[in-house]
Amino acid sequence: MARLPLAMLSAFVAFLGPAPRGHAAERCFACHAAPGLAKRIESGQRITPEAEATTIKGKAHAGLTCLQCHPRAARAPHPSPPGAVACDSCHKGYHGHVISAAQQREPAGSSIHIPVCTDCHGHHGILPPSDPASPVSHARVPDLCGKCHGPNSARPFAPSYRQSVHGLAHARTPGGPAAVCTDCHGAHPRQEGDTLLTGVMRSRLPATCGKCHPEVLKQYRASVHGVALTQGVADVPVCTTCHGEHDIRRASDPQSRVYPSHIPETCGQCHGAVALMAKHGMNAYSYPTYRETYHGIANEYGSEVVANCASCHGVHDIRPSSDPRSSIHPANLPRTCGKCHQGASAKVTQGRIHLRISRSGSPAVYWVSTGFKWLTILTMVALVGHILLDLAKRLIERRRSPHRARAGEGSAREGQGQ
Amino acid sequence: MTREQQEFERFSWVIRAQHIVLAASVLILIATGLPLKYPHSSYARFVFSLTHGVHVSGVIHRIGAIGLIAVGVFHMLWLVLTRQGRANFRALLPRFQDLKDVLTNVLWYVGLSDKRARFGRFSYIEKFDYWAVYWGSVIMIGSGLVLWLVDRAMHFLPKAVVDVALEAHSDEALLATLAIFVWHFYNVHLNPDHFPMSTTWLTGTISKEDMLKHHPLDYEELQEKEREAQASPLSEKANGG
Repeated sequence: MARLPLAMLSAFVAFLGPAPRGHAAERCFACHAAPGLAKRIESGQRITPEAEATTIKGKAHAGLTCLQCHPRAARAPHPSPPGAVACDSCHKGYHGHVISAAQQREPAGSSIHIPVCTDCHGHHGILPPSDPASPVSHARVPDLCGKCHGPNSARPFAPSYRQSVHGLAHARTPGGPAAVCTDCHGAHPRQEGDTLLTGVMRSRLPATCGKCHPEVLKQYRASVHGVALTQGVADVPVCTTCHGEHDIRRASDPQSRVYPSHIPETCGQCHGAVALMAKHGMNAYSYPTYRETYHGIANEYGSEVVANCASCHGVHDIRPSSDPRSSIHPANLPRTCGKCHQGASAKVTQGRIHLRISRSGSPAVYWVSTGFKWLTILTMVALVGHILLDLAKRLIERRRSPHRARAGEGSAREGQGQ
Repeated sequence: MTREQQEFERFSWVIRAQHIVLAASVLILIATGLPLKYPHSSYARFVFSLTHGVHVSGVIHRIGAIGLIAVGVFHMLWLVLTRQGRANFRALLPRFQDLKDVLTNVLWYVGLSDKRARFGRFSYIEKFDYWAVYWGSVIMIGSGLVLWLVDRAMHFLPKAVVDVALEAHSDEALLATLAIFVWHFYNVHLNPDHFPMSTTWLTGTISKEDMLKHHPLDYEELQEKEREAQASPLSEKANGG
């Protein structure tokens, strides 16, 4: 501790000269080279600003003076704290975007740390993103974002990403094309008015995923969902509605939301929601009527071969049954059913697929069902009535002749029978 | 063997064998069919966990179906081709007397009459059981084959007809199950005369006591035949020789 006041004194003496100008780092180092001013960095190692500054050499910011980034340090003694690094003196706009975007979401007084430039790009040794050693290089982005979005954070996105098809592919080949955080969310999203235009906004999401999945995007754009999205229907499903967000898994992964066992509940989150379907003039019985069929029951109990929603309706190219290109257009139904039921003919169109028993909608099934209901009720009333009469009579007979019933049931019975 | 302990043959082994195959098949069909009718019951979860999904239970269901179809076909042939079958069938035909027996018994049950119905070889209770199996088998086998051969059905039959087959299969299954477990099981297992079980379905025999109680007319007919046999010239000759 004794060395610190001494170091500060010698530094102050050096500062009495003219203010640093041009590449005059040595003037700063008159103070900042003193070991007592060393700061502890993340690894626990103590490092002086001078030593840190040498890392600039040959990096993106080689040639800059200290004061270009630390303008408030021009005055001596410096204000304390010396204030934010002035990246926006060169990099116009970026800084403000990230801050305002985060502030929009966080209530006033929130203790959430809103990242600033240096949190991601580093301090003195900033490298261009194209450099594999840069913390913002494509290969290292998940680690970088994971520092704040790790498993114990309030927003633990990194762990679910690591389990996702993208995260696993990225882990296998970190330099490969697998999507990392910034591919979807953008590094420095643009702001229009109060709206932050990120790649994961509902309206922009399909295009974001389409950057890597162009064929799927084409199918989706032509589908009933894609068309509705471009018409501005906000409730319509986008890629993440079915596939999930950070935890997107391969469709063949049993934990995927689009694995055959999970397809019905994934589609059912909308198509079984009565209020949502009513809002858009659709029926909500597609999902429950599927669940009641053999297909639905077999699916529920783990069959992977039985038809689920996608087997008939398609996946990204779902179209309304009125569309002649739809797999469920009446003209195409024999072929669609025939994928599993070889020999299915146009007869499959004579009747309802998502059958809901009603007098007008399915009269034959309705009357068979109603007939059996009453046949069962009346038969059982008659049979149970006969049983109860028989039991009651036995009780009465037994009470009337208790001794005979106890002592010689056989002869008593024989007497009854005669 | 004293006269009181005398046993009569009621069901031949052919009849007993048919009943056993029928019973086993129907129990298999009920056990593996109900889970599909009530898929969210704990029973369904139990069965489908045993069979790891619906496939294996479906295979077992079809084995039961083969049993039911086989015993049905055999029974038809037996009825037509054998003297024993034809005789039993005649005794099982519904008659006006059955309706009168129902009325007599109901009046006796409610205390309006002292007279109880006296049955021959088959009471109306047993005739109901027998003919219910016809009704049930026709519906269950007919609709069941549509569902079994659903690929063919989707070629030849409108979707609505397949739906009707499924509905009838499910509805009649419940009716049959209730009839068996409530009506049939009361009459042969649970009622105080037979509890816990009438053994006739296994031994084929019935005691004189039960014969007199449940089938007095049949007993009298047998006695009549015995007397005729004793009085016939053939037996006289035998006695004389």
